[in-house]
Amino acid sequence: MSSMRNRERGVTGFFEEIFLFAVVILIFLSTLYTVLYFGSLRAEREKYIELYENVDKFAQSFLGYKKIIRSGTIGLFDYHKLRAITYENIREDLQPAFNFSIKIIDVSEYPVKYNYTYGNETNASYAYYSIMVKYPANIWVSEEEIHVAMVEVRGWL
Amino acid sequence: MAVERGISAVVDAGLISAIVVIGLVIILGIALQNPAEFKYDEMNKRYAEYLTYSLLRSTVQMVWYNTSSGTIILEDKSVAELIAEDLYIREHNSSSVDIKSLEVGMEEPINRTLKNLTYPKYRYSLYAEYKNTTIIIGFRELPQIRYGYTAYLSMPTSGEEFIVTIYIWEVSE
Repeated sequence: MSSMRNRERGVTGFFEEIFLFAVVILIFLSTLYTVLYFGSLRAEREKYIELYENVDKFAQSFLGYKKIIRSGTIGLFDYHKLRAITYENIREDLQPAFNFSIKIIDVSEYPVKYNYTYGNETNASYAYYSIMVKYPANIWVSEEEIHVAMVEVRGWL
Repeated sequence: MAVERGISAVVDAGLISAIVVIGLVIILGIALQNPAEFKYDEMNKRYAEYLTYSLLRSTVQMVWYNTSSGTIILEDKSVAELIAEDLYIREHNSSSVDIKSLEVGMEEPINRTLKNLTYPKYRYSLYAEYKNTTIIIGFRELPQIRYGYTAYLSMPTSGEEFIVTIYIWEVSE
């Protein structure tokens, strides 16, 4: 009887401990997964914010880009100068650390519109991170004709 | 004895699980502390500033208003000049000017321009003040969270000061 009792106790104890060990491992793994998941989310968000800040700074640099503004006024673009510059000029002078495209959209009510595009934003649709920043600006046509415009700067990695 | 051993194992497992979970939650807490935030407030303030300058220096192809002696048509005037004229007419309460026509012929084109520069992200309100006169273009009710920029301008003839403030706020989705 005595040896029988010891054998039963051993079998019961073994199964109890294996089961509880599995529970502990499961809790540990699920918590670890949660930590890693949130950690990766944070890393993604930081990368996104860094790109957002860089695109925003680049947009401001473009608004004050000396080769296109009139009389040194930030956001007042001379349409003659807008026609003359190229995507390569902008890349060389402002040196963004990401791919970009810029659109200047004439949103005035004048019948003749002065719209300009630098770069091709279709590539942005394949990018993992893509940000667009917009600011209001003007297109100077003459002293009597200054159009309102939206500057759309898209940056992607 | 078997029951005691079982209870002991449950207690051990509970303790170990609790320690592991607490440890990982602390790590998670540290990892999520001070998450990086984009400075949307600064960006919105800057947007309000650029919007104000962009609007005021832009010109409007044609605006009009009615007087007792006929319709006045103004071509290629800057928005700053138009607001100055609007404020001056209202302040001096010239009975010869149809005030309703000022709203339709002068303020509505400014309103449309503001709309083109803000939609779809923002809503807007323009306040122009001169002596005892205030013009509001756009939304009349301002939300608590808004971003504004004020420009101090001078009347073309008298040089008296008038103020234009543009408020914007983000549209909640």
